[in-house]
Amino acid sequence: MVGEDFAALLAASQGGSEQAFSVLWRDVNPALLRYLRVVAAEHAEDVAAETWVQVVRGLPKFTGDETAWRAWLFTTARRRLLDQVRLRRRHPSEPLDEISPTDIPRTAAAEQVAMDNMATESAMALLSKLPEQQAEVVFLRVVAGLDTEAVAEILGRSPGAVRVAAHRGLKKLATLLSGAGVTL
Amino acid sequence: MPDSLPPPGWGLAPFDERDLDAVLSGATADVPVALRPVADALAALRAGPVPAELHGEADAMAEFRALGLGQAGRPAPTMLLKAVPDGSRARPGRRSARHRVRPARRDSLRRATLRPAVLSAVAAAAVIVLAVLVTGNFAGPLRAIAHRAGPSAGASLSRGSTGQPAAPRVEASSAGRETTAAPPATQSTASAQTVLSNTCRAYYSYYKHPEGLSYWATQLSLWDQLTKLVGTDNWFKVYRYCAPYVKDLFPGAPVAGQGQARPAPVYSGQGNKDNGSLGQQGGAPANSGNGSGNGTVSSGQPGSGQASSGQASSGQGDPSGSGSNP
Repeated sequence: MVGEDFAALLAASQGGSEQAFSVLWRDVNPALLRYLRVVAAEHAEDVAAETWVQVVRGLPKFTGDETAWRAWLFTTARRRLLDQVRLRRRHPSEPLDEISPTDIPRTAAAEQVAMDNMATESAMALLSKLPEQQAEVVFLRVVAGLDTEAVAEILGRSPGAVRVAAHRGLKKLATLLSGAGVTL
Repeated sequence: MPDSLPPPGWGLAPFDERDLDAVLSGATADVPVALRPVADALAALRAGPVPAELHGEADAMAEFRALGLGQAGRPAPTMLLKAVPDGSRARPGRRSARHRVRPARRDSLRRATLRPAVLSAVAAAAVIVLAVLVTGNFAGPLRAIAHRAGPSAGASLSRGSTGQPAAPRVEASSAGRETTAAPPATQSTASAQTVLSNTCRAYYSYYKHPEGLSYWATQLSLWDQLTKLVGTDNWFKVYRYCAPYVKDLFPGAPVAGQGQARPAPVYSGQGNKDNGSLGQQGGAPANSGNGSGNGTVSSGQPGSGQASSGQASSGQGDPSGSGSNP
């Protein structure tokens, strides 16, 4: 979360400052990608790119605080995701040949990146085991940093239903962690 | 003493909803032991970005610039504005790129679309005018339109002051004032007729010998003069008024009103509407309702209050002919 500087950053972005927009992008994009990778892993990159195109186009007219900004961004992402899913259903595509692990280019920092990423990836894999609605609610509450009302608005559900889904998801996580002996 | 022990899951829950809300909010202090692994997992989800999650920044920035939002971050964006001409100078700020490009594209599209349309319309109008002049009449539904074009003229022909089929009436002025009598011809009347004749010939000569689109400005000027002289801007009425003067230009074309009930165009006349007589008609061509010839009625019945309906002469009307006034 950007915090108190958000209003200034937003105004600067709307005025054309690339630096300010970069800060906003770097603040939200990781959370956006993680959310999309849990909800729809195979479309995450494409949907994120489409989401930012949409957000940039609407940026001059946006008004609101940081919570509203994030809610708007994740709402846009969710709509783009639904569009993508519908599109793929109508026009299914064959994936290209899988690249074998030995062909993946490796960098010097690949191992370190993998280590850094391991905890996050493990947590995301764990959340992927939750029912879809519970996982989405937990992600929007935890990763996107949205409150119950904002999540309810995005998902089109009541705040009470969102709260119940979040609690059930956490309980399910606790059960999974205790039963599997997972350590992060 | 109970008969059996409660199941293992019974009893106080290791955490309640407040603890769940705290974990969701990111609080790590005072988290129940049962929820600590969950809190750790959620903390891992909130961890800082890995490089792979920042790869798309260049694309987002490119979109940011492409939509004209990235002007302020560039080193010298305002210097370019001085080179733009005043007429098309873009507004400074994030929207300048849009405003620089789109109006020009719209204008060019508009010009490209309108130019052929205007030329086509002019050509079509010229063809229609020529067709009317050659054939002297319209066919099909256009005939009805032609008749509707001159309702007052038709009315003036159909009824005289006594309700009889009318003799040619006199439209005295540009205001359309009708008279039934006119004073003797005056020199000013002859002068007006000369002007009208010259204007008519000048205007309709173009259709005999078209001189290209550049002549249209003169044509429009002549048309304005004609409409002022005749007192109407109805093309059919103007043509009927001019027909006697331009009939030699279009020998094949019938004189207006041939075989049909049409009013007699008269260019002057300041008669007394109440005396029931037809005054001077200026010799303009007229045609009665059932006249068979292409001639004109040169005068009405003096003092009778009726016109010589159905007695069209066979000769050509004389525009300068005069009637009598009792």
